[in-house]
Amino acid sequence: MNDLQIIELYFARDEQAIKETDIKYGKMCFHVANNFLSNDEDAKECVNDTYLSVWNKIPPTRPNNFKAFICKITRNLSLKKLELSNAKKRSANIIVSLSELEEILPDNRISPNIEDEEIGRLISDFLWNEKEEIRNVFLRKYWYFDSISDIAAQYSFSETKVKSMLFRTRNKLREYLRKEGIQI
Amino acid sequence: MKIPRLANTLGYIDDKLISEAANSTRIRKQQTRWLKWSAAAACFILAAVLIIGILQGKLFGNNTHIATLENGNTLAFVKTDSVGIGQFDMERDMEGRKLTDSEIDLLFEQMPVSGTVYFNNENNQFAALEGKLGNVTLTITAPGVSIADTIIVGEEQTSEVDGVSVAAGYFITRANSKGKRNIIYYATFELGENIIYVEYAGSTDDSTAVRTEIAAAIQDLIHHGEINFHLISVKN
Repeated sequence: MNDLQIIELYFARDEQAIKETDIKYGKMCFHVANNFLSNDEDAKECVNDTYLSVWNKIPPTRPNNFKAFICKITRNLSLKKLELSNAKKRSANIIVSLSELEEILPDNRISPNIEDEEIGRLISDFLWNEKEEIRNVFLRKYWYFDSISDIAAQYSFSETKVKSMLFRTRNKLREYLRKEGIQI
Repeated sequence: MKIPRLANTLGYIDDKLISEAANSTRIRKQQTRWLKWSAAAACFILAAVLIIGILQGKLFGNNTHIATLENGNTLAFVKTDSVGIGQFDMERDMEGRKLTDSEIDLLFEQMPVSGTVYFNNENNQFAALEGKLGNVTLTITAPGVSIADTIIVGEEQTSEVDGVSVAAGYFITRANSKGKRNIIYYATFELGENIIYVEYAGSTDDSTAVRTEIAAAIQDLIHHGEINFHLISVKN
């Protein structure tokens, strides 16, 4: 079933919509959630919360990009759950990734008057100006929180190369945000 | 657990970026001997075409930006349609570490250089340096280590700076959300056995200042001369 048909099921308030969403995007959502939470049960719970959130948002929302829409919800819910989790549940990958992001933009004390949404737009502009493989590696690491080894395997790069690409992109992003007025 | 603001702001990026990354993959190119030779031949042909073009004066367009150096030399930056990012090819096994202050003094004397130096794991020889000279991005590679992704689509022009041939260009990015465009100046040249790549970006409104700064960095490097990386070893 294609995305438009699934969205129509949500608009018809047909519970088959959730089953079809699970069939098409369940594995992807679980992968995203598990990257954050490193726990199968927590990840499954997060995926179920995602379906509930999608059910509540559609209608009235009619997403143009259903895949990104559902990914974003899973990611946001995973981040919230991670924020509340205890130290034992955190993977080394997530700790390192978050600390690398923290070095660029730690908290709301930096440019408090600029909305997160505006910074998101700036980051989008930055990434669109990067080469496709560079932005995809960056997003696999810091949006999906894939491990270095998984990214290296997916793109047929050495792990050293992936680390190097990420290092350079982080530095460029920091410099770019500074030039755009985000005082870091 | 504290979530950094950047992790939250990434939640607002374009949907297309998210779905593109979800679907993306890369097919590794199988580099065969003939492919390497054909790449070398292509580079040779490209260089020949550029030299002929320059000699015939056909590559001098109106879009060329000129920087005048302290010694009176001029440095021409030719507008290009795309630019690489000065990355060196890290397909081979390399180890990197930060340059120490004493190494910076040893290699660059008074120049404000910082960065990461990479050594080839096979022979512990210097492979590349990635860092900054002041605000200017600096990449230096040893012979045989290629700079990846520096294919310039468009024209290239070389200038002579104290007897060193410098190929320089610039690229203007798309407008950002505020309608501002950035200009990226870059140049590449040889110092001794090493290849130098420098890059500096800023707003198009500040293009003269950006150009002046990168030109000064190029002149400083050329005045300094060959950088002897044999003076440092994999273990500092």
